[in-house]
Amino acid sequence: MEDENASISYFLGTDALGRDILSKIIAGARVTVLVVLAAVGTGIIVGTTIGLVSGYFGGIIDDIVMRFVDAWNILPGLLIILVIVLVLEQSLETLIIVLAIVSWPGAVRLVRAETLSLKNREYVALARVAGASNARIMIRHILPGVVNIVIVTATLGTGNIILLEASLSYLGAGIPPPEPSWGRMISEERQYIDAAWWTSLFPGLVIAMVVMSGNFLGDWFRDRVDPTLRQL
Amino acid sequence: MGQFIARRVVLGIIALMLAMLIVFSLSRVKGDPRYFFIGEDSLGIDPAVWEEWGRRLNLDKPVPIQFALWMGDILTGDFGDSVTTQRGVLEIIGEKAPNTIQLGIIAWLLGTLVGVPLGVFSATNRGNFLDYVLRGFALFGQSVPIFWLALVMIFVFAVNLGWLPSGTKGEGLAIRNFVMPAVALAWFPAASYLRITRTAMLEILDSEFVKFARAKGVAQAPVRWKHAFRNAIIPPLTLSVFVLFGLLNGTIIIETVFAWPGLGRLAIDALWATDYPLLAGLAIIYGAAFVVMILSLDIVYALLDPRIKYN
Repeated sequence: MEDENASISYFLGTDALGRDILSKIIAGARVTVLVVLAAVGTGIIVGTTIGLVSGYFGGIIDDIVMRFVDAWNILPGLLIILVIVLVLEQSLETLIIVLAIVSWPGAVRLVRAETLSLKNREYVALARVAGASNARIMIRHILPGVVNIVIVTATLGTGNIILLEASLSYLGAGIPPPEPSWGRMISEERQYIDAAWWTSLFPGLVIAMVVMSGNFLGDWFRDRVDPTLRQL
Repeated sequence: MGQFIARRVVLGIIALMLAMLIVFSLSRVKGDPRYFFIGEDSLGIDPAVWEEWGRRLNLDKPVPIQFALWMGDILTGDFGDSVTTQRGVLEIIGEKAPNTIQLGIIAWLLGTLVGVPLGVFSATNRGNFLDYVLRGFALFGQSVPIFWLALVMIFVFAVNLGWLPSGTKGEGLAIRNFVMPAVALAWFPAASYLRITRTAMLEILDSEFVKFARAKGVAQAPVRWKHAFRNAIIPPLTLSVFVLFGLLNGTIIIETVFAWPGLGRLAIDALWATDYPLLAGLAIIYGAAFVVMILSLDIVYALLDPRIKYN
């Protein structure tokens, strides 16, 4: 067994192949952050666009979009994600696509609801009287009204996406090797847990800390945007 | 009310059919669905078997007809046979389902019975030491990966202390085997319940009628439970259905960690064996179960809160 407990040169100990845990965690951070931010960004942009169009125009477009959002919501998410990974073949791009797919329906619902309440405001009617096109009204007059709540929700949701990515990596469908991944570190080292507990303990703690930071940031954002929630 | 429920039923059926369309489309992403479970590289496949699967999946017909026939089969209860075991999909799911349902319900009860009272407690003790401890617990509970939590529990309680078995279900309803998987599954929901109940309670406790009840001299306990909690129950109630559904995702992970012989493990095994009929069956049955759960939630809403109007 190559596992070595914490020492001065290996701050968090080493894994079964003698690799430094701390270095792997740092290297893993790069990939995880890249994947999660790309996925959340894509999902939010696509979801906001669809929600804006769906809420603004209403009618048949809205009906079709909402029925698909409903359909997506009743499917068991993790299982469908795993099936998509299987079909598209495992790669970093697939992972980003899959995690983006998870985030868009929530954004659609949120933006649509906000758009519905904003589009009947007087300033929107005045903009129309002034001759603004639909696209201009949506981008210049409605989007600024929904962007705050979208950012708050995206920040709060980032933690869940990180957890989901870790779960996928744990199940072997996440970040493909040889890229280091926190979730896979835990699953690879779990068989040595009785001899070398630190190999699985520290990656998990790091995931928890990053997710917690995301939640703190989201709460802070929300308080900035909507101060009525601050005292709760 | 009747009209409202009829509308929700129709919407539920539409959602379920679209969900089937999604599942169907996923199998056609590679073109021929047979590649899904046979694999392009398995050249040694018997052409007769290949043809047989083609016939079974109606591949000689146009794609919309294939979908209609497939959906028709499923609506009449024929989910097809598993590719790996050649047994009926429903039969396999029926065999494994009780293990997951038992685990899921125990975890659901555990999460609810721990999370909701702690949320009320945290709200009524707002700002003091215990409130901070509970909020810290909620924050931590929503942030840890559950598979890691499960591993830590195995390390502490199974490997080191030897109090509990480290996995599998064993025969019957042996409580010892349920403790760790159920606690690991209930952890995240308990934290969510705590946060949501706390926020709802604080909002109600701040309202005029609660202040009036206090001014009238109603004791602390009745104010909390009769005036405040009964009005704060809708958010945790809504959450409870989503928790129950979310547990299905959780069981996929937890059953893998604890080698639990349920639907979650079945799904993972089917996935790595690319057993498409079984995966599709699982997804659709889960979807149908969730539609039913949401419908019952709508009815419970109406019973609990007469102010909710339907149109």
